[in-house]
Amino acid sequence: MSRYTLIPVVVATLAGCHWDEGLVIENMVGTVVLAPEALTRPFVSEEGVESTITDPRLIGPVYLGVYSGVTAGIEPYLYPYVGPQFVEGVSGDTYPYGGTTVGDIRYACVEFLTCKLTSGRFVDFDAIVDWFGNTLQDPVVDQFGNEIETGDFLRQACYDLLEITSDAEVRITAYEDRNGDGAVDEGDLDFVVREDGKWEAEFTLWQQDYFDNSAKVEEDDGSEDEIHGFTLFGWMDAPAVGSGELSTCNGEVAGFNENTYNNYFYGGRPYLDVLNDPGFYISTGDWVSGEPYQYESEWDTPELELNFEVTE
Amino acid sequence: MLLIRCNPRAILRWFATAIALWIAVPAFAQTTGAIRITVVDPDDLPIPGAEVTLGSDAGVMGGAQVRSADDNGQVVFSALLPGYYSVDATKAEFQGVRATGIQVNIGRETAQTLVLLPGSGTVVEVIVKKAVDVNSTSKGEVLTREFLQRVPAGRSYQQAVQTAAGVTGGGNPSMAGGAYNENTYMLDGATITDPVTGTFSVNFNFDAIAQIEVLLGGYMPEYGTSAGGVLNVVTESGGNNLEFNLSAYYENGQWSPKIDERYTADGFLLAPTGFDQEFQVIGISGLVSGPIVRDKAWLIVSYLGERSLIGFSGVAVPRDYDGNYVLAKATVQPVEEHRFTAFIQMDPTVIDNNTQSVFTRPEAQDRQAQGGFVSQGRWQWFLSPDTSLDTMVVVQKTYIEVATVPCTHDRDLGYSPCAPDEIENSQDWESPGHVGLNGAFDTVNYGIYYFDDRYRYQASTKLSVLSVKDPFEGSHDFKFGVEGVQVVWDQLQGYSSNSLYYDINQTFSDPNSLEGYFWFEITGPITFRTTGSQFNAFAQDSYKPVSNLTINYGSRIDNFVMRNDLGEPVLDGTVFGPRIFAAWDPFKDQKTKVAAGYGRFNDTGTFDVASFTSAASYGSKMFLGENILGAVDGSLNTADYMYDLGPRENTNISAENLRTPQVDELLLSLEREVISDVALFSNVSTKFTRYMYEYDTTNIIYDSDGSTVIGSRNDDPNVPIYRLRTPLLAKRDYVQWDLGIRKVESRRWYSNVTYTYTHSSGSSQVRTSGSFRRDPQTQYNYGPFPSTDLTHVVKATGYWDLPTDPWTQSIGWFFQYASGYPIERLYYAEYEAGGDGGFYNLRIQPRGTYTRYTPSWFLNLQFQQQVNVRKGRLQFSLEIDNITNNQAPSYFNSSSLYTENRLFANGRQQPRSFILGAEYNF
Repeated sequence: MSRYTLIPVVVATLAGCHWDEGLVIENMVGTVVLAPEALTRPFVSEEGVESTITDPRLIGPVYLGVYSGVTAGIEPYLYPYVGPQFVEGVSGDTYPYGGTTVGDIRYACVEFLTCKLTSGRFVDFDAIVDWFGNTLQDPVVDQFGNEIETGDFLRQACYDLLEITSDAEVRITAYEDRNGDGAVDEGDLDFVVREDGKWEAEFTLWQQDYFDNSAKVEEDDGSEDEIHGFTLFGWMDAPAVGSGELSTCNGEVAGFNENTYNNYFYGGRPYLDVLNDPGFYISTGDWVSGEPYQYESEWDTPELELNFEVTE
Repeated sequence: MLLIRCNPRAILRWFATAIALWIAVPAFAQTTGAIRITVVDPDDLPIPGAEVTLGSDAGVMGGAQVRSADDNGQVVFSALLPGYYSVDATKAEFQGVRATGIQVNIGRETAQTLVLLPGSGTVVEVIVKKAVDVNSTSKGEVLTREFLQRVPAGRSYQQAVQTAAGVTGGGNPSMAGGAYNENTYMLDGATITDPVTGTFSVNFNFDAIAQIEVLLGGYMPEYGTSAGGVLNVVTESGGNNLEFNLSAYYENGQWSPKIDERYTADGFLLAPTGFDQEFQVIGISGLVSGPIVRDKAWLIVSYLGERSLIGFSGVAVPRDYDGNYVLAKATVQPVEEHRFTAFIQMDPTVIDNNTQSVFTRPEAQDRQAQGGFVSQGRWQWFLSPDTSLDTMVVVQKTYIEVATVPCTHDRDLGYSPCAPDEIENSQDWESPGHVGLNGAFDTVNYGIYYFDDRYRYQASTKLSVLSVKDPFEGSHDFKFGVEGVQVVWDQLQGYSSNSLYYDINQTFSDPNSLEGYFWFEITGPITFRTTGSQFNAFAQDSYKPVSNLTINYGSRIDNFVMRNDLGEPVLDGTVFGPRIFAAWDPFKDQKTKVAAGYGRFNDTGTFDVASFTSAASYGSKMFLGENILGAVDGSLNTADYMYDLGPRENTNISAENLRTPQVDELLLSLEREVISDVALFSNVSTKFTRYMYEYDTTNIIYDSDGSTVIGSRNDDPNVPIYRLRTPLLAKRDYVQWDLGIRKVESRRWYSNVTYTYTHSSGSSQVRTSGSFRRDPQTQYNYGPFPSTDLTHVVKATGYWDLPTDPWTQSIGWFFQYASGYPIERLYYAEYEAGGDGGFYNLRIQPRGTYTRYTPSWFLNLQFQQQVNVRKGRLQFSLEIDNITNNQAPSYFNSSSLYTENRLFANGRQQPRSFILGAEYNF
């Protein structure tokens, strides 16, 4: 290796070094995959015609947590380790090392949409109006009960209420050309369809503390059927059939407090302990990771498939 | 037989040196300057043995100094108090030369070559300061007394430094890209930086300032270590002439045209009226200086009383500032070898109605009493003309006491009114404060009290060995120093009646809809003490291998520990600060300088960081009020209606491997005198700050953008556990490029015009800014800083003494243009654990990229008229500030921007004002 090669190599190596805080903290990335079945449902049109629709708007928020491990027997699906059981029949909480979401429950500016919208699922505001009005047969209405017929009306409601001037500030619809194809469209939503027909989305665990505790967990509880260590577990909170409501959303006294004119309600937000008590929020129709991913290093880029449908 | 011959005087000298080195401590800033005289013949050959005598109209402390030139024809006079000096150079068979007007600035060496012609008699030569200081490698300026008097840049050292390129902000300026709390403040060589906040801690009489050294980079280890700049103030010392100065000034900012309310088309108020704004300042100052014994003992005593009434638009009562600054200093040099200085300064100040909010009633205003003292004893031992030992012991106390404002029966003032049976100046220590929400007023009482004492004990010593020749004909000026510091922070704080109430208007700003909302019962007063200590040392050399090259290099080592109130060492370490800077005069004509260098500076922390894990904390219970439960008879004040119980303990933790934040600085400077006394210059500096003190949240898990909580890593998702860290991500990058033209004072005028380009960005502008509080938000942390990223700035200063002898008239000016600071908009977050005063705290774009303030500019002009009177001189001055004020917003209501997308200007540039001054000297 010549000196002209060696010097930049040394410089680059040194540039990549920094003070060791004694903390392993990284932005850990990966992908979440959903089978088409997770976003496919039968619908009946206004005219009574039955059809099956596969649509990303059927994907609710995806919750991802990294736990010390998962185990069988607590729920019908693999479930994160839980703490001590103090009351018979009531599981202890589980405490993840970290977590994130793909798509967030977002306040959509009219009470009707409280706890019904997830960001990154709708191309534009027309897609929201169309989804509820034409697909779910449950049109979006304003505070007076009048049907909202256009996306522009809904957009303007958000602009007025939130005092903003762009879709990028609302952050419900697709608002930026993520894939660089020159257009803001379906390809810029959180989940995009792959060649194999599955839908995938990227996620980032921002500033995640990483712990390799697999040996410790093995020592404590060595069942071979379980996944031990820094383990990624997740599920998709599917919108309720009919109403489209999300079971992880607290719409009672949480979220944006709308208090204008004759409007008084809350916009809703997730419960604060969604990752601490997932079994309480996972319900029929949700899709859970059937094969949680166990990390081997902080540089892993897992692909977590939510392939187990909760049916009971 | 072992025979030892002892020299008692030598033993004493070395013993004293050793003792001084051991007890020594903090920064060892320069308070004096030096003159280097080179005596040559017409062929530029040195004249060894030439006799050089130093004198001054004001006298030379220790008496006139006479030296013989060395083999290079050089003589160095060091440890000179700032001012003007004269030099007489004589040698047999040559004409003598008397050079006058040689200016000595603190921290600088004034080099002057005197050419002796063959013959006899004496030639008088008036020396003009050189346009290019070819020996200096530091970046910054020395603001001389002439500059401070003639340039209209305010009447405080904090304001005066705003004239320097790279200084922005207000009373606690940001210097060279550092934050407002990252500078080193020094007074007569002693550090006066507040150990808690990192800001300035002392006010004093502006007329007592001899010079201010503003260092923005490239400074040597003796000046200490900080992430910002150094502001080194040296006060007057007096002289052989008895001088008396009495001055008074009055500033009024109410006479200028007022602005009307400004509304948007839909009727929204964008800016309040300026008609109710109050702005008046009055000051009376006296200063006496002179000899106790000529050339042996000088004394200076000064006093400044200053009162200001400054109110924001729409605020019922003005901020009433009443400061008294006393300074006394004695300098004694009984023999040539020893100089002693005793110094004390006090600044007791009372500020009433300190809360300038339109939503605060007079009875809910606060009083802040502040002040303290700095006392200093100093011994300078001149072991030889080139060797000295400078030892200093300093004790400083500052205090801040905040409580409710006293009442008055004088209703015309509009201050907190006394009840009929209440004694004047009574303070209400019993009634809980009521905080208004939704347009409601803060009422009843201020409700919070706070007593804070800060102590600093420091001792330092510095050994200077100058003009040391090496075998290669190079010359060295060595300096070595050690210092020790102990700092203590005592605090007591609490709430009146251990309670705090919140009231709310059901309808915004409608007082008829006011209802009690909720209240807290809070645990009793908190008391705590934190301590810290430092032991530092430095070694540096100013090396001249050849006459036209100066290499300043050295390093300091800082050993420090800052503890929390449990006595646990939170911040500690031992860090090195190596620096090397060089200045080259390529043409050896004293007109060109090429300077470059590198320096490492460290941030050794303050108490507000060390206290991050202090245990003292409030516990509280929240009770629901009538607004929520409908009862107004007090029956709700029971445990049954208690809503929340806050923890008493502080849950903050600290990462085990904290390190010391560091700043790496690179400088490149080019200067050239293009015509006589006029120089062009280009200075580029870059500063890379890394590993700043920040904290993250260890237990709370947020959704993908950080807008709400979805879980907790342990225990309660409502209670965040913060962890102090020093991650690489906590960083700041700064670039400053100055282009300018400088005309040094000659032919009665001086001027300096500088254009500065700056780029200041990063993730942490100040210590523990909270940038990493929510993990998903780290993606938007990096961007231009809303407080320092001023892209384009032009500053122009100058003065002109009109040729109208015997009456001297002077005109001074200060112009500044600055492009606007970045503004960022924060968006609604659904929830944040622990709360954060409203939930508009979410970034969706990199910081500072939303928009910018509009540019601002101003022009200050000053006219001075001096009149000679019997036994003295009268001087009248008229200063008009902000003549071209464009009323640009100086800050805005962020809440209006975040919630309503309105740039509602809360404050604007200071109003156009005039200052009338009168001064009498004899």
